[in-house]
Amino acid sequence: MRTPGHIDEATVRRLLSGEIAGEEARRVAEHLAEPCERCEELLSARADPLDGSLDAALLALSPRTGEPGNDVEWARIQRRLRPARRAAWRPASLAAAAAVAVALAVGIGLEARRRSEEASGDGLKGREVERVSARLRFSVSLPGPAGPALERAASGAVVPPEASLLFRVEASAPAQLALLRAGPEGSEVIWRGSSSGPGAVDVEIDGRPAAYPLRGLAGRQRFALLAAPSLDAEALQAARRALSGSAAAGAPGPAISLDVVEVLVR
Amino acid sequence: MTPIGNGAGAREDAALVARATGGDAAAQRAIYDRYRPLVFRVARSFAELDADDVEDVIQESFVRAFQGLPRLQDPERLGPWLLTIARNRALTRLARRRSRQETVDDLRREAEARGEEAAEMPDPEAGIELEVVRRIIAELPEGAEKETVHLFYVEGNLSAREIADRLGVGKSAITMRLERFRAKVKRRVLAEVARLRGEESMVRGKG
Repeated sequence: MRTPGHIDEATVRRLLSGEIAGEEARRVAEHLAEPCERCEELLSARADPLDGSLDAALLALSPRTGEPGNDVEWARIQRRLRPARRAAWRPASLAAAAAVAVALAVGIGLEARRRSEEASGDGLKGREVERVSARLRFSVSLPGPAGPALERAASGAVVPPEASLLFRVEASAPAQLALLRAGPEGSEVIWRGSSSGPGAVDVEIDGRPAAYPLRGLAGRQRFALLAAPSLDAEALQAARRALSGSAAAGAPGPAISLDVVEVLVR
Repeated sequence: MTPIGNGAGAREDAALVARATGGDAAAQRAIYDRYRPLVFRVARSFAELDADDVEDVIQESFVRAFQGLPRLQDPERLGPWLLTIARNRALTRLARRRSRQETVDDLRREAEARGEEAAEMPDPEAGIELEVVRRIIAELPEGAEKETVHLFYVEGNLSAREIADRLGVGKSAITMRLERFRAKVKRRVLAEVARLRGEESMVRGKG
């Protein structure tokens, strides 16, 4: 005969923290000793410190071990352990901010045309669907004796690791925006923002144009702008895969505009 | 094979944790090399996760673990703690797909934040006896669940996704079978914890 008294969240928590003893503990033990779908459902949905011990025991059943680690994956983990790149954004100087506004404004038409022509090359660049169309512009900031020098750049630029990049987004409609970086060691979301309508949005941190430092990066670095009325985690994940060149990668989504620029850091 | 979190291996873990917490990259790499195969297998127990997802879960797990090492109060429990993180990362990824993100995220965060709680627990659940797990498998009625459990946990060659392909059933069915089995084991282990708590209080009462 089944004993009454299904467990609940509070009972499990109290049991694991040693707050249940005596007769109450014996009642719980008696109930859990018999199959109980309701309690098993609760335990399955609940995450608690018991899970690790449980998995360790289950995995120890087989002499097989899982796939060992590798240097590439380890490098990616190390990369992610370094101080967050988002925090590495630096405020650009006022002069640089003004300069970037001018630099980015000049030649937009020419660059847009070039981007459009490039779009068919890799299946990523300039992908535009439905209402939101977005473009990613950038300038390179280089330290100099008289202060940073700023120059508008185009995709494919070769830049030294001491440079920083300043980005501007042009969106055709209100949209959520995300900027992703992908390099040989992995990808990351480096900025989230939004546009309230058609026009340009400078990538800013705390209200000032932000410079993304390339120090610590090497090789081909791709920066991808995603724009859509709504951007969720799945879309970002799909974009990260696409940028990483995953064979299983799909497009980020039909309503998402994607624009990619690339620099070679060396 | 001895479950992790016990004996000499646990003491080695504690030494590695002490070094890794101090920023020793070689110790971090040693932890990664030691536990990567197990983290990999935990991630592969969710058939809905593809190879990219599994890779992400592995990376996220180690990043979180290394960031959280200073909070780990019992370094000998490194292995179970890391596997808890891996499981939570995998479940969070699944939950996002199933649009239950907020609720499950909250649960996972709560569980991960309790990393130190595991260290404070008395030991009945610290090392779950393999014999108990084997007995539970043996007691399963012959059928799909037992076959799945055997393929994944006992033979250990195939991922949940590969088992779904081999058995010709949906991915979620395999994940569900493994989770259902796991819940049975968890119930039995918790029953044992409760029994020991009851006995402990009886002994104290007599003493």
